[in-house]
Amino acid sequence: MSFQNFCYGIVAVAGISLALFGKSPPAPPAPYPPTPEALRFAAAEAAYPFHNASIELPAGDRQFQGPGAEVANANCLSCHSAGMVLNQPPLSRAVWEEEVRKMRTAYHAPVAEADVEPIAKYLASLPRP
Amino acid sequence: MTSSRRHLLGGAAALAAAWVSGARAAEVDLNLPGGGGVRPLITDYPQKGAMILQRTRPPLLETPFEVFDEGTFTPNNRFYVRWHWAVIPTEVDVNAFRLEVKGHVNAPLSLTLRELYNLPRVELAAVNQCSGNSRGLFQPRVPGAQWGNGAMGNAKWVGVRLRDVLDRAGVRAGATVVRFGALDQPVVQEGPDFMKSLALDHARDGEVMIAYLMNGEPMTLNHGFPIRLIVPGWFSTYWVKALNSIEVLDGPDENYWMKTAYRIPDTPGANVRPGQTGFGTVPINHMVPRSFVTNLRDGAGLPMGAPAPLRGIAFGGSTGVRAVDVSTDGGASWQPATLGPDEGKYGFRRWEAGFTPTARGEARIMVRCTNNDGLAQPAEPNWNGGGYMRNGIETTSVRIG
Repeated sequence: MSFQNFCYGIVAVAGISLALFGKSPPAPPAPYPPTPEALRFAAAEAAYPFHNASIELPAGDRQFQGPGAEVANANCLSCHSAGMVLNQPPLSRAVWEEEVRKMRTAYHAPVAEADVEPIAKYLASLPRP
Repeated sequence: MTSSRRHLLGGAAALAAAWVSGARAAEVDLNLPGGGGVRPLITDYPQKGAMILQRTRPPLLETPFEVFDEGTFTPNNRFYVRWHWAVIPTEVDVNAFRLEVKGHVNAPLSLTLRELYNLPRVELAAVNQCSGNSRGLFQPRVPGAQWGNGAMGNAKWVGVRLRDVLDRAGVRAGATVVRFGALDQPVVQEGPDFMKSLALDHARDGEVMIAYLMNGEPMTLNHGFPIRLIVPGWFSTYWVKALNSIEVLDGPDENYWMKTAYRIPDTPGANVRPGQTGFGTVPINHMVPRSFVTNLRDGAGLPMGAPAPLRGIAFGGSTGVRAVDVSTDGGASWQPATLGPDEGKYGFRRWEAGFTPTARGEARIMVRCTNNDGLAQPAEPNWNGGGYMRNGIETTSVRIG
Protein backbone atom coordinates (compact mmCIF):
# COMPACT_ATOMS: atom_id res chain seq x y z
CA MET A 1 0.00 0.00 0.00
CA SER A 2 1.40 3.37 -1.01
CA PHE A 3 1.45 6.26 1.40
CA GLN A 4 -1.19 8.04 -0.68
CA ASN A 5 -3.61 5.10 -0.57
CA PHE A 6 -2.93 4.77 3.15
CA CYS A 7 -3.98 8.43 3.58
CA TYR A 8 -7.14 7.86 1.51
CA GLY A 9 -7.87 4.95 3.82
CA ILE A 10 -7.62 7.17 6.87
CA VAL A 11 -9.91 9.75 5.24
CA ALA A 12 -12.40 7.00 4.38
CA VAL A 13 -12.38 5.64 7.93
CA ALA A 14 -12.85 9.20 9.24
CA GLY A 15 -15.77 9.64 6.87
CA ILE A 16 -17.43 6.44 8.02
CA SER A 17 -16.89 7.40 11.66
CA LEU A 18 -18.49 10.74 10.89
CA ALA A 19 -21.49 9.03 9.34
CA LEU A 20 -21.80 6.61 12.24
CA PHE A 21 -21.09 8.83 15.19
CA GLY A 22 -22.11 12.26 14.03
CA LYS A 23 -19.76 14.92 15.38
CA SER A 24 -16.08 14.56 14.75
CA PRO A 25 -13.10 16.86 14.40
CA PRO A 26 -12.83 18.70 11.06
CA ALA A 27 -11.56 16.48 8.24
CA PRO A 28 -7.77 16.63 7.88
CA PRO A 29 -6.54 18.49 4.81
CA ALA A 30 -6.19 16.37 1.67
CA PRO A 31 -2.66 14.99 1.35
CA TYR A 32 -2.09 16.77 -1.99
CA PRO A 33 -3.90 19.61 -3.71
CA PRO A 34 -6.14 18.27 -6.51
CA THR A 35 -4.46 18.08 -9.89
CA PRO A 36 -5.70 20.31 -12.74
CA GLU A 37 -7.05 17.14 -14.38
CA ALA A 38 -9.06 16.31 -11.29
CA LEU A 39 -10.42 19.85 -11.16
CA ARG A 40 -11.42 19.72 -14.81
CA PHE A 41 -13.09 16.37 -14.27
CA ALA A 42 -15.01 17.72 -11.28
CA ALA A 43 -16.15 20.76 -13.28
CA ALA A 44 -17.27 18.55 -16.16
CA GLU A 45 -19.18 16.32 -13.76
CA ALA A 46 -20.91 19.31 -12.21
CA ALA A 47 -21.94 20.45 -15.68
CA TYR A 48 -22.86 16.99 -16.93
CA PRO A 49 -26.23 17.75 -18.47
CA PHE A 50 -28.01 14.42 -18.16
CA HIS A 51 -29.90 13.76 -14.96
CA ASN A 52 -33.19 11.94 -14.64
CA ALA A 53 -36.01 14.33 -15.35
CA SER A 54 -39.77 14.34 -15.26
CA ILE A 55 -42.51 16.85 -15.85
CA GLU A 56 -46.26 16.81 -15.37
CA LEU A 57 -48.04 18.44 -18.28
CA PRO A 58 -51.57 19.81 -18.01
CA ALA A 59 -54.26 17.99 -19.98
CA GLY A 60 -56.49 21.00 -20.63
CA ASP A 61 -60.04 20.90 -19.37
CA ARG A 62 -61.80 23.05 -21.95
CA GLN A 63 -64.86 21.38 -23.47
CA PHE A 64 -66.75 22.18 -26.62
CA GLN A 65 -69.97 23.94 -25.71
CA GLY A 66 -73.42 24.46 -27.16
CA PRO A 67 -75.78 22.42 -29.34
CA GLY A 68 -74.05 19.53 -31.04
CA ALA A 69 -70.93 19.71 -28.86
CA GLU A 70 -71.28 16.17 -27.51
CA VAL A 71 -70.01 14.52 -30.68
CA ALA A 72 -66.96 16.81 -30.73
CA ASN A 73 -66.21 16.22 -27.06
CA ALA A 74 -66.56 12.47 -27.52
CA ASN A 75 -64.32 12.26 -30.59
CA CYS A 76 -61.76 15.05 -30.55
CA LEU A 77 -60.47 15.41 -27.02
CA SER A 78 -58.68 12.09 -26.66
CA CYS A 79 -55.89 13.23 -29.00
CA HIS A 80 -55.83 16.96 -28.29
CA SER A 81 -57.40 19.63 -26.13
CA ALA A 82 -59.97 21.99 -27.63
CA GLY A 83 -57.96 25.22 -27.80
CA MET A 84 -56.50 25.07 -31.28
CA VAL A 85 -59.83 23.99 -32.78
CA LEU A 86 -61.59 26.93 -31.17
CA ASN A 87 -58.87 29.30 -32.40
CA GLN A 88 -59.44 28.52 -36.06
CA PRO A 89 -60.58 31.29 -38.40
CA PRO A 90 -64.03 30.94 -40.00
CA LEU A 91 -63.87 27.79 -42.14
CA SER A 92 -66.62 26.37 -44.31
CA ARG A 93 -68.36 23.14 -43.38
CA ALA A 94 -66.62 21.48 -46.32
CA VAL A 95 -63.20 22.54 -45.02
CA TRP A 96 -64.09 21.34 -41.53
CA GLU A 97 -65.14 18.01 -43.01
CA GLU A 98 -61.76 17.79 -44.74
CA GLU A 99 -60.03 18.50 -41.43
CA VAL A 100 -62.01 15.84 -39.57
CA ARG A 101 -61.35 13.35 -42.36
CA LYS A 102 -57.64 14.13 -42.15
CA MET A 103 -57.80 13.17 -38.46
CA ARG A 104 -59.31 9.83 -39.49
CA THR A 105 -57.21 8.97 -42.51
CA ALA A 106 -53.84 10.60 -41.83
CA TYR A 107 -53.75 10.35 -38.04
CA HIS A 108 -55.96 7.25 -37.61
CA ALA A 109 -58.21 8.92 -35.05
CA PRO A 110 -60.95 6.46 -34.11
CA VAL A 111 -63.76 8.67 -35.40
CA ALA A 112 -66.74 6.78 -36.78
CA GLU A 113 -67.61 7.67 -40.37
CA ALA A 114 -71.12 8.52 -39.15
CA ASP A 115 -69.65 11.13 -36.78
CA VAL A 116 -67.62 13.01 -39.39
CA GLU A 117 -70.45 15.15 -40.73
CA PRO A 118 -71.99 16.00 -37.34
CA ILE A 119 -68.56 17.09 -36.04
CA ALA A 120 -67.96 19.24 -39.13
CA LYS A 121 -71.45 20.71 -38.85
CA TYR A 122 -70.91 21.58 -35.21
CA LEU A 123 -67.47 23.15 -35.79
CA ALA A 124 -68.75 25.20 -38.72
CA SER A 125 -71.67 26.41 -36.60
CA LEU A 126 -69.50 27.90 -33.85
CA PRO A 127 -69.48 31.69 -33.75
CA ARG A 128 -66.12 32.89 -35.02
CA PRO A 129 -64.97 36.44 -35.62
CA MET B 1 -40.74 52.93 -22.04
CA THR B 2 -38.26 50.14 -21.51
CA SER B 3 -39.35 46.64 -22.30
CA SER B 4 -38.87 45.49 -18.72
CA ARG B 5 -41.12 48.28 -17.55
CA ARG B 6 -43.70 47.38 -20.16
CA HIS B 7 -43.36 43.83 -18.98
CA LEU B 8 -44.00 44.85 -15.39
CA LEU B 9 -47.02 46.86 -16.42
CA GLY B 10 -48.26 43.87 -18.39
CA GLY B 11 -47.88 41.76 -15.28
CA ALA B 12 -49.77 44.32 -13.21
CA ALA B 13 -52.53 44.42 -15.80
CA ALA B 14 -52.61 40.64 -15.70
CA LEU B 15 -53.04 40.64 -11.95
CA ALA B 16 -55.75 43.29 -12.16
CA ALA B 17 -57.59 41.27 -14.80
CA ALA B 18 -57.38 38.17 -12.63
CA TRP B 19 -58.69 40.18 -9.68
CA VAL B 20 -61.69 41.40 -11.64
CA SER B 21 -62.60 38.22 -13.46
CA GLY B 22 -61.45 35.81 -10.80
CA ALA B 23 -60.47 33.48 -13.62
CA ARG B 24 -58.07 34.02 -16.50
CA ALA B 25 -54.94 35.86 -15.50
CA ALA B 26 -54.45 37.80 -18.71
CA GLU B 27 -55.01 37.82 -22.42
CA VAL B 28 -52.98 38.76 -25.45
CA ASP B 29 -54.40 39.93 -28.76
CA LEU B 30 -52.29 38.70 -31.66
CA ASN B 31 -54.12 41.14 -33.97
CA LEU B 32 -54.87 38.51 -36.58
CA PRO B 33 -56.59 39.81 -39.71
CA GLY B 34 -60.34 39.51 -39.31
CA GLY B 35 -60.00 39.03 -35.55
CA GLY B 36 -60.00 35.92 -33.42
CA GLY B 37 -56.50 36.58 -32.13
CA VAL B 38 -57.20 36.80 -28.41
CA ARG B 39 -55.36 34.12 -26.44
CA PRO B 40 -54.79 33.49 -22.76
CA LEU B 41 -51.40 34.50 -21.39
CA ILE B 42 -50.54 31.73 -18.97
CA THR B 43 -47.95 31.68 -16.22
CA ASP B 44 -48.50 28.20 -14.81
CA TYR B 45 -47.12 25.94 -17.53
CA PRO B 46 -44.35 23.74 -16.09
CA GLN B 47 -40.84 25.10 -16.63
CA LYS B 48 -42.16 28.13 -18.54
CA GLY B 49 -42.62 31.81 -17.80
CA ALA B 50 -45.53 33.82 -19.24
CA MET B 51 -46.55 32.22 -22.54
CA ILE B 52 -49.38 32.64 -25.04
CA LEU B 53 -51.57 29.56 -24.92
CA GLN B 54 -52.52 28.27 -28.35
CA ARG B 55 -53.28 24.72 -27.22
CA THR B 56 -52.75 22.89 -23.94
CA ARG B 57 -52.36 19.29 -25.15
CA PRO B 58 -50.15 18.61 -26.98
CA PRO B 59 -48.69 21.99 -26.15
CA LEU B 60 -48.57 24.90 -28.54
CA LEU B 61 -47.12 27.80 -26.56
CA GLU B 62 -46.16 31.04 -28.25
CA THR B 63 -43.51 33.53 -27.13
CA PRO B 64 -45.02 36.93 -26.26
CA PHE B 65 -43.48 39.30 -28.77
CA GLU B 66 -41.99 41.74 -26.25
CA VAL B 67 -39.52 39.00 -25.25
CA PHE B 68 -37.74 39.57 -28.57
CA ASP B 69 -36.96 43.13 -27.51
CA GLU B 70 -35.00 41.93 -24.51
CA GLY B 71 -31.97 40.43 -26.18
CA THR B 72 -30.44 38.44 -29.00
CA PHE B 73 -31.12 35.12 -27.30
CA THR B 74 -34.57 33.94 -26.29
CA PRO B 75 -34.70 32.71 -22.70
CA ASN B 76 -35.48 29.02 -22.42
CA ASN B 77 -38.49 29.62 -20.21
CA ARG B 78 -40.00 31.98 -22.82
CA PHE B 79 -39.07 29.90 -25.88
CA TYR B 80 -42.06 28.66 -27.89
CA VAL B 81 -43.14 25.03 -27.50
CA ARG B 82 -44.70 22.80 -30.13
CA TRP B 83 -45.35 19.05 -30.07
CA HIS B 84 -47.29 16.98 -32.60
CA TRP B 85 -48.48 14.02 -30.55
CA ALA B 86 -49.78 14.12 -26.99
CA VAL B 87 -47.68 11.13 -25.88
CA ILE B 88 -44.70 13.26 -24.96
CA PRO B 89 -41.72 11.89 -23.04
CA THR B 90 -42.54 13.35 -19.62
CA GLU B 91 -40.02 11.17 -17.83
CA VAL B 92 -36.55 10.18 -19.00
CA ASP B 93 -34.23 7.73 -17.26
CA VAL B 94 -30.85 8.93 -18.44
CA ASN B 95 -29.13 5.65 -17.68
CA ALA B 96 -31.59 3.61 -19.68
CA PHE B 97 -31.73 6.05 -22.58
CA ARG B 98 -30.03 4.96 -25.81
CA LEU B 99 -29.55 6.72 -29.12
CA GLU B 100 -29.86 4.04 -31.79
CA VAL B 101 -27.93 4.47 -35.03
CA LYS B 102 -29.09 1.87 -37.53
CA GLY B 103 -30.06 1.06 -41.08
CA HIS B 104 -27.57 1.34 -43.91
CA VAL B 105 -24.48 1.47 -41.67
CA ASN B 106 -21.49 -0.82 -41.10
CA ALA B 107 -21.86 -1.01 -37.33
CA PRO B 108 -25.21 -0.17 -35.74
CA LEU B 109 -24.75 1.76 -32.51
CA SER B 110 -26.66 2.02 -29.29
CA LEU B 111 -25.07 5.05 -27.66
CA THR B 112 -25.42 5.97 -24.01
CA LEU B 113 -25.67 9.62 -23.13
CA ARG B 114 -22.22 9.34 -21.59
CA GLU B 115 -20.75 8.06 -24.85
CA LEU B 116 -22.44 10.86 -26.73
CA TYR B 117 -21.20 13.43 -24.22
CA ASN B 118 -17.64 12.22 -24.69
CA LEU B 119 -17.65 13.07 -28.40
CA PRO B 120 -16.10 16.40 -29.50
CA ARG B 121 -18.24 19.28 -28.34
CA VAL B 122 -19.47 21.98 -30.74
CA GLU B 123 -21.51 25.13 -30.28
CA LEU B 124 -23.52 27.51 -32.44
CA ALA B 125 -26.27 30.11 -32.28
CA ALA B 126 -29.31 29.38 -34.43
CA VAL B 127 -32.88 30.48 -34.86
CA ASN B 128 -35.46 27.78 -34.33
CA GLN B 129 -38.61 28.76 -36.20
CA CYS B 130 -41.79 26.77 -36.69
CA SER B 131 -42.67 26.19 -40.35
CA GLY B 132 -46.05 27.75 -39.61
CA ASN B 133 -44.82 30.75 -37.65
CA SER B 134 -47.14 33.71 -38.41
CA ARG B 135 -49.77 31.45 -40.03
CA GLY B 136 -52.52 33.42 -38.28
CA LEU B 137 -51.51 36.47 -40.34
CA PHE B 138 -52.19 34.80 -43.70
CA GLN B 139 -54.84 36.47 -45.84
CA PRO B 140 -57.02 34.73 -46.75
CA ARG B 141 -56.72 32.84 -43.48
CA VAL B 142 -55.78 29.15 -43.56
CA PRO B 143 -56.41 26.31 -41.09
CA GLY B 144 -53.65 25.15 -38.73
CA ALA B 145 -52.07 26.50 -35.56
CA GLN B 146 -53.00 30.19 -35.58
CA TRP B 147 -49.62 31.56 -34.54
CA GLY B 148 -48.70 35.20 -34.43
CA ASN B 149 -45.00 35.96 -34.96
CA GLY B 150 -43.83 34.26 -31.77
CA ALA B 151 -43.29 30.67 -32.90
CA MET B 152 -39.56 31.32 -33.16
CA GLY B 153 -36.59 31.85 -30.91
CA ASN B 154 -32.82 32.10 -30.95
CA ALA B 155 -30.58 30.02 -28.71
CA LYS B 156 -27.00 28.98 -28.31
CA TRP B 157 -26.87 25.23 -28.80
CA VAL B 158 -24.12 22.94 -27.54
CA GLY B 159 -23.77 19.34 -28.52
CA VAL B 160 -21.98 16.99 -30.89
CA ARG B 161 -21.81 16.84 -34.65
CA LEU B 162 -24.26 14.48 -36.27
CA ARG B 163 -21.43 13.69 -38.70
CA ASP B 164 -19.26 12.35 -35.88
CA VAL B 165 -22.03 10.00 -34.80
CA LEU B 166 -22.71 8.84 -38.36
CA ASP B 167 -19.00 8.30 -39.00
CA ARG B 168 -18.76 6.18 -35.90
CA ALA B 169 -21.41 3.86 -37.29
CA GLY B 170 -19.90 4.05 -40.77
CA VAL B 171 -22.39 4.97 -43.47
CA ARG B 172 -22.49 2.31 -46.19
CA ALA B 173 -22.19 3.03 -49.90
CA GLY B 174 -25.57 3.68 -51.48
CA ALA B 175 -26.99 5.52 -48.48
CA THR B 176 -28.87 8.69 -49.42
CA VAL B 177 -31.05 9.82 -46.55
CA VAL B 178 -30.90 9.95 -42.76
CA ARG B 179 -34.15 9.65 -40.82
CA PHE B 180 -34.66 10.82 -37.26
CA GLY B 181 -37.11 9.41 -34.74
CA ALA B 182 -37.91 10.41 -31.19
CA LEU B 183 -39.36 9.36 -27.87
CA ASP B 184 -42.75 10.93 -28.53
CA GLN B 185 -45.44 8.57 -29.76
CA PRO B 186 -48.76 8.71 -31.55
CA VAL B 187 -51.78 8.69 -29.27
CA VAL B 188 -53.35 6.17 -31.63
CA GLN B 189 -51.32 3.03 -32.24
CA GLU B 190 -51.59 3.14 -36.03
CA GLY B 191 -50.98 6.89 -36.20
CA PRO B 192 -47.85 8.04 -38.03
CA ASP B 193 -44.91 8.23 -35.62
CA PHE B 194 -43.19 11.61 -35.93
CA MET B 195 -40.06 11.23 -38.03
CA LYS B 196 -38.15 13.60 -40.28
CA SER B 197 -35.25 13.10 -42.63
CA LEU B 198 -32.39 14.94 -44.25
CA ALA B 199 -30.31 14.15 -47.30
CA LEU B 200 -27.13 12.33 -46.28
CA ASP B 201 -24.85 15.16 -47.48
CA HIS B 202 -26.79 17.63 -45.40
CA ALA B 203 -26.73 15.34 -42.38
CA ARG B 204 -22.95 15.06 -42.74
CA ASP B 205 -22.24 18.77 -43.34
CA GLY B 206 -20.62 19.18 -39.90
CA GLU B 207 -23.16 21.82 -38.83
CA VAL B 208 -26.17 19.63 -38.11
CA MET B 209 -25.87 18.94 -34.41
CA ILE B 210 -27.20 16.70 -31.69
CA ALA B 211 -27.61 19.24 -28.90
CA TYR B 212 -27.82 18.77 -25.16
CA LEU B 213 -27.45 22.37 -23.96
CA MET B 214 -29.74 25.27 -24.81
CA ASN B 215 -28.50 28.71 -23.80
CA GLY B 216 -26.03 27.08 -21.42
CA GLU B 217 -28.58 24.92 -19.62
CA PRO B 218 -29.51 21.27 -20.05
CA MET B 219 -32.38 20.90 -22.48
CA THR B 220 -35.71 20.84 -20.65
CA LEU B 221 -38.32 18.18 -21.41
CA ASN B 222 -40.43 20.83 -23.16
CA HIS B 223 -37.62 21.39 -25.64
CA GLY B 224 -36.50 17.84 -26.21
CA PHE B 225 -34.49 16.51 -23.24
CA PRO B 226 -32.16 14.73 -23.26
CA ILE B 227 -31.03 15.51 -26.82
CA ARG B 228 -32.50 17.13 -29.90
CA LEU B 229 -31.43 17.69 -33.45
CA ILE B 230 -30.31 21.18 -34.52
CA VAL B 231 -30.53 21.88 -38.24
CA PRO B 232 -29.14 25.41 -38.61
CA GLY B 233 -30.95 27.53 -41.16
CA TRP B 234 -33.79 25.04 -41.60
CA PHE B 235 -37.29 25.14 -40.21
CA SER B 236 -37.90 23.59 -36.83
CA THR B 237 -39.87 20.62 -38.11
CA TYR B 238 -36.47 19.00 -38.72
CA TRP B 239 -35.14 19.81 -35.26
CA VAL B 240 -36.41 16.53 -33.83
CA LYS B 241 -36.86 16.74 -30.06
CA ALA B 242 -36.10 13.86 -27.70
CA LEU B 243 -34.12 12.26 -30.52
CA ASN B 244 -33.55 8.54 -29.95
CA SER B 245 -33.21 7.05 -33.41
CA ILE B 246 -31.01 7.78 -36.41
CA GLU B 247 -31.73 5.55 -39.36
CA VAL B 248 -29.66 5.63 -42.53
CA LEU B 249 -31.77 4.84 -45.61
CA ASP B 250 -30.72 3.86 -49.11
CA GLY B 251 -33.76 5.42 -50.72
CA PRO B 252 -36.26 8.23 -50.24
CA ASP B 253 -38.12 8.54 -46.94
CA GLU B 254 -41.77 7.83 -47.68
CA ASN B 255 -43.05 8.48 -44.17
CA TYR B 256 -46.10 10.72 -43.67
CA TRP B 257 -44.20 13.63 -42.13
CA MET B 258 -42.00 13.95 -45.23
CA LYS B 259 -44.26 12.72 -48.01
CA THR B 260 -47.56 14.34 -47.02
CA ALA B 261 -47.16 16.83 -44.19
CA TYR B 262 -45.00 19.96 -44.18
CA ARG B 263 -45.03 20.33 -47.97
CA ILE B 264 -44.71 23.72 -49.64
CA PRO B 265 -45.40 24.77 -53.23
CA ASP B 266 -42.37 24.28 -55.44
CA THR B 267 -42.55 27.96 -56.45
CA PRO B 268 -40.32 30.96 -55.62
CA GLY B 269 -40.90 31.90 -51.97
CA ALA B 270 -43.44 29.04 -51.66
CA ASN B 271 -45.85 31.64 -52.98
CA VAL B 272 -49.08 30.81 -54.85
CA ARG B 273 -52.42 32.53 -55.37
CA PRO B 274 -55.34 31.34 -53.28
CA GLY B 275 -57.14 28.73 -55.34
CA GLN B 276 -54.17 28.17 -57.66
CA THR B 277 -53.60 24.56 -58.73
CA GLY B 278 -51.19 22.65 -60.91
CA PHE B 279 -47.97 23.26 -58.98
CA GLY B 280 -45.73 20.62 -57.47
CA THR B 281 -44.80 20.45 -53.81
CA VAL B 282 -41.57 19.76 -51.92
CA PRO B 283 -40.82 19.18 -48.26
CA ILE B 284 -40.33 22.51 -46.52
CA ASN B 285 -36.61 23.15 -46.12
CA HIS B 286 -34.36 26.13 -45.41
CA MET B 287 -35.57 29.37 -43.88
CA VAL B 288 -35.77 32.76 -45.56
CA PRO B 289 -34.92 36.22 -44.21
CA ARG B 290 -37.21 38.00 -41.74
CA SER B 291 -37.02 41.12 -39.60
CA PHE B 292 -39.17 42.82 -36.99
CA VAL B 293 -39.46 46.02 -35.02
CA THR B 294 -39.42 44.94 -31.38
CA ASN B 295 -39.67 48.20 -29.39
CA LEU B 296 -42.98 49.44 -30.83
CA ARG B 297 -46.31 47.70 -30.95
CA ASP B 298 -48.78 48.22 -33.75
CA GLY B 299 -51.04 51.11 -32.81
CA ALA B 300 -48.55 52.74 -30.42
CA GLY B 301 -48.49 56.53 -30.13
CA LEU B 302 -45.34 58.67 -30.57
CA PRO B 303 -44.95 62.40 -29.90
CA MET B 304 -44.12 64.75 -32.79
CA GLY B 305 -40.54 65.93 -33.04
CA ALA B 306 -39.12 63.71 -30.32
CA PRO B 307 -36.44 61.19 -31.25
CA ALA B 308 -37.94 57.70 -31.17
CA PRO B 309 -35.12 55.28 -32.01
CA LEU B 310 -36.28 52.05 -33.60
CA ARG B 311 -34.80 48.68 -32.83
CA GLY B 312 -35.50 45.07 -33.57
CA ILE B 313 -34.25 41.72 -34.72
CA ALA B 314 -33.46 40.18 -38.08
CA PHE B 315 -32.27 36.84 -39.32
CA GLY B 316 -31.10 35.74 -42.72
CA GLY B 317 -32.57 32.24 -42.76
CA SER B 318 -30.09 29.84 -44.31
CA THR B 319 -27.28 32.38 -44.15
CA GLY B 320 -26.34 35.55 -42.27
CA VAL B 321 -27.77 39.06 -42.39
CA ARG B 322 -26.17 41.33 -44.99
CA ALA B 323 -28.35 44.39 -44.36
CA VAL B 324 -31.45 45.64 -42.63
CA ASP B 325 -33.26 48.64 -44.10
CA VAL B 326 -35.98 50.64 -42.43
CA SER B 327 -38.74 52.78 -43.88
CA THR B 328 -40.85 55.15 -41.78
CA ASP B 329 -43.03 56.29 -44.66
CA GLY B 330 -44.70 53.07 -45.72
CA GLY B 331 -41.93 51.96 -48.06
CA ALA B 332 -41.47 55.18 -50.06
CA SER B 333 -37.91 55.65 -48.79
CA TRP B 334 -35.49 53.40 -46.95
CA GLN B 335 -32.50 53.97 -44.71
CA PRO B 336 -29.94 51.38 -43.62
CA ALA B 337 -30.16 50.25 -40.01
CA THR B 338 -27.09 49.78 -37.82
CA LEU B 339 -26.49 46.11 -37.18
CA GLY B 340 -25.65 44.78 -33.73
CA PRO B 341 -22.94 42.21 -32.96
CA ASP B 342 -22.82 39.14 -35.18
CA GLU B 343 -23.41 36.19 -32.84
CA GLY B 344 -23.39 33.65 -35.65
CA LYS B 345 -24.88 33.60 -39.11
CA TYR B 346 -27.84 31.42 -38.17
CA GLY B 347 -28.90 33.51 -35.19
CA PHE B 348 -30.86 36.70 -34.59
CA ARG B 349 -29.03 39.92 -35.38
CA ARG B 350 -30.13 43.04 -33.57
CA TRP B 351 -30.53 46.31 -35.46
CA GLU B 352 -31.18 49.97 -34.63
CA ALA B 353 -32.26 52.98 -36.63
CA GLY B 354 -32.93 56.61 -35.80
CA PHE B 355 -36.44 58.04 -36.21
CA THR B 356 -37.85 61.45 -35.36
CA PRO B 357 -41.48 61.83 -36.40
CA THR B 358 -42.03 65.01 -38.40
CA ALA B 359 -45.65 64.68 -39.52
CA ARG B 360 -48.82 64.06 -37.55
CA GLY B 361 -51.05 61.12 -38.33
CA GLU B 362 -50.21 57.53 -39.07
CA ALA B 363 -46.63 56.48 -39.75
CA ARG B 364 -46.08 53.07 -41.31
CA ILE B 365 -42.77 51.66 -40.19
CA MET B 366 -41.36 48.86 -42.30
CA VAL B 367 -38.26 46.75 -41.94
CA ARG B 368 -36.56 44.62 -44.58
CA CYS B 369 -33.77 42.09 -44.17
CA THR B 370 -31.44 41.11 -47.00
CA ASN B 371 -29.38 37.99 -46.36
CA ASN B 372 -25.84 37.15 -47.43
CA ASP B 373 -27.14 35.42 -50.56
CA GLY B 374 -28.72 38.73 -51.59
CA LEU B 375 -32.22 37.42 -50.87
CA ALA B 376 -34.49 40.16 -49.48
CA GLN B 377 -37.91 39.92 -47.86
CA PRO B 378 -40.66 40.41 -50.45
CA ALA B 379 -42.84 43.53 -50.32
CA GLU B 380 -45.99 41.42 -50.69
CA PRO B 381 -46.43 38.61 -48.18
CA ASN B 382 -46.18 35.14 -49.66
CA TRP B 383 -49.23 32.86 -49.42
CA ASN B 384 -49.84 29.11 -49.54
CA GLY B 385 -52.58 26.86 -48.25
CA GLY B 386 -50.41 25.30 -45.54
CA GLY B 387 -49.63 28.66 -43.99
CA TYR B 388 -45.90 28.00 -44.20
CA MET B 389 -42.77 30.12 -44.53
CA ARG B 390 -44.29 33.58 -44.24
CA ASN B 391 -41.60 36.23 -44.65
CA GLY B 392 -43.04 39.38 -46.23
CA ILE B 393 -41.90 42.79 -45.02
CA GLU B 394 -43.61 43.59 -41.72
CA THR B 395 -45.35 46.89 -41.12
CA THR B 396 -45.86 48.50 -37.71
CA SER B 397 -48.34 51.35 -37.79
CA VAL B 398 -47.95 54.07 -35.18
CA ARG B 399 -49.85 57.28 -34.46
CA ILE B 400 -47.84 60.49 -34.41
CA GLY B 401 -49.50 63.19 -32.32
